[in-house]
Amino acid sequence: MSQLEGYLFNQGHMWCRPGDDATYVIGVSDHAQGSLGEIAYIELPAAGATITQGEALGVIESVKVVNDLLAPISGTVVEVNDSLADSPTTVNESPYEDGWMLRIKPGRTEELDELMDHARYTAFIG
Amino acid sequence: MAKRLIVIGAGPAGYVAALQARAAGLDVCLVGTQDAGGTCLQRGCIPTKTLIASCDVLEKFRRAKQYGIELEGSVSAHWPSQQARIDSVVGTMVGGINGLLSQRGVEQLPGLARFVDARTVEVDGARRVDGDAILICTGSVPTAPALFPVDGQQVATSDDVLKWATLPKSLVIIGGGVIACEFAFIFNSLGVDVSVIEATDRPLPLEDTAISTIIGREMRKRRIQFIPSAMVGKMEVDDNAVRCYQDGQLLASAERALVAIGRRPNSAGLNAQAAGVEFGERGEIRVNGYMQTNIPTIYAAGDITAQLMLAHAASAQAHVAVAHMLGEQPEPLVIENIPRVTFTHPEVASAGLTEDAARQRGLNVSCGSFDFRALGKAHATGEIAGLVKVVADADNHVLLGVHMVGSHSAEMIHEAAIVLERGGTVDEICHTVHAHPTLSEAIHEAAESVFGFATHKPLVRKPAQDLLNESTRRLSV
Repeated sequence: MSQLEGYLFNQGHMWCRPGDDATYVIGVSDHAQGSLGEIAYIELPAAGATITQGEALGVIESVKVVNDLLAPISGTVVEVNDSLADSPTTVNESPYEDGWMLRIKPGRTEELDELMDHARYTAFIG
Repeated sequence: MAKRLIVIGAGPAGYVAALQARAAGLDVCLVGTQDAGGTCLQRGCIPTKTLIASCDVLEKFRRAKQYGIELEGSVSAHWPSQQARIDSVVGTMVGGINGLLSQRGVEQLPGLARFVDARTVEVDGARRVDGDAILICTGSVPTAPALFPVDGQQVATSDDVLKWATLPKSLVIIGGGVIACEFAFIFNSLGVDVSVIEATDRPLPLEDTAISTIIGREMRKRRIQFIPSAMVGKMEVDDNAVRCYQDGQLLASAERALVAIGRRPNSAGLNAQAAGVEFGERGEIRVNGYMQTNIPTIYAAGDITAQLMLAHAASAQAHVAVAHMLGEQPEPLVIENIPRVTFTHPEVASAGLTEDAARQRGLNVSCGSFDFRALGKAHATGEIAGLVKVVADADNHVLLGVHMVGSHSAEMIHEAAIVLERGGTVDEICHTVHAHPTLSEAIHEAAESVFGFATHKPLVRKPAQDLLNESTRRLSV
């Protein structure tokens, strides 16, 4: 698989990448969506909420399991992908593009140093 | 030992006591038979479960395609027909109670009882009856402070809503407990736009937090607006709307409001003070473990004692009271082990201690949980939301509590109640073979999960003496 430029991953299988206006976009990895199976429901914080690296930012329910979504980076939510409320399987179909979850204004960009680039993440998931 | 018993109130405590006492050979007079079955049958458990059955059918039709069923035309709920079905079901059950009372030879007196002295009550200000034991089972009524201008229509209690001639387009429910949450899911199913205002930070605040979390999520999935940590300080009513405010800020507005903030013991007109009966601060009648008041020949059972306002608890208390007045030494009830059920969608059921309550007692607690969605039966029936959580003592494996949310939970909780009642261990659940495919497999797997080895979930190795609480789950794929 080709490497994803600019995407950084945590061990909770979530990614973030730079977005417009010094924001970061957050989602779950292709490996995560594949393991979860058909996603049935995603609960995300509202715009204005703060999220903290390593802590649950929301919940994802697939037909198989319910899991917390662990924030890859701290910050303040500026935009939520509302389309996921009605079509959560977009995350299955396009985890790195249309299935993005949040756009945030980052708190501490040095937190990015703790994340893995795509090559390291690919090695991590084996 | 008593020979003649007067029972006041014909609800799940009163009529059950009357039947049991007659079976034991007592001469029994049951006062209040115009309300046979009490709140449970006339205005509570049974009418709402009948309505929920209609909602379940409606929801199944809405999801028919998911089951490979194609429907032609539209499906809609017809409120008057649902009310007629409630009346029919209640009528059948009232007939059953009356038949049992008659068959056993219970003297049945409609009317309101008023104490004259410790052995005598007057019924509707006319006939006097006496006995050498009296059992007070006058139940409870909805709490509705003057802050809420209850008129039964625009601002209603749970006693009123099932009598509404029409359904509102929108409804604000004050309270987030059992009654509030059941009605939130009912009216949401029927197409009403529902908001719930709750004083604490979660729905069903007396349940384990894991259960409240899932019910809160199910509310959001259904677009039920849950407003946490809010207290209505002012309610405004005009022709078109009810508006709820806190500190001048609008919390919610709707066409109608349902006030469901609790129930209080009902002793209206009883004049039990004439017999010297002691009351507590909440208006409840104080009783000992045998349901005996401070007057040895007067007992009380059910909601009037404000211990656990549930129909089956009332009946169980009635059994204890009658046994004691017959000269037996019945085992006092362990209130926390009495199962509690809430008919939300999905259902909630619990028995024993929550994780927080167990920790507050200083116990070395270990928890295990299992999601319904990992069960084949849950997928087969198309009802995958929910979990079972088992709370155990990590030192001796004694079962402390079981909490579940999911389809048919109310039917499944009794396995836990039996183990709790006998002080059994979580190992006994693990060693009991559970049939496949059933939803009860979730209890078995949750029990195994206390030790980290549920068969159908990722292996988590837990130290033998320091079993980890697994209330938080991470994306472990």
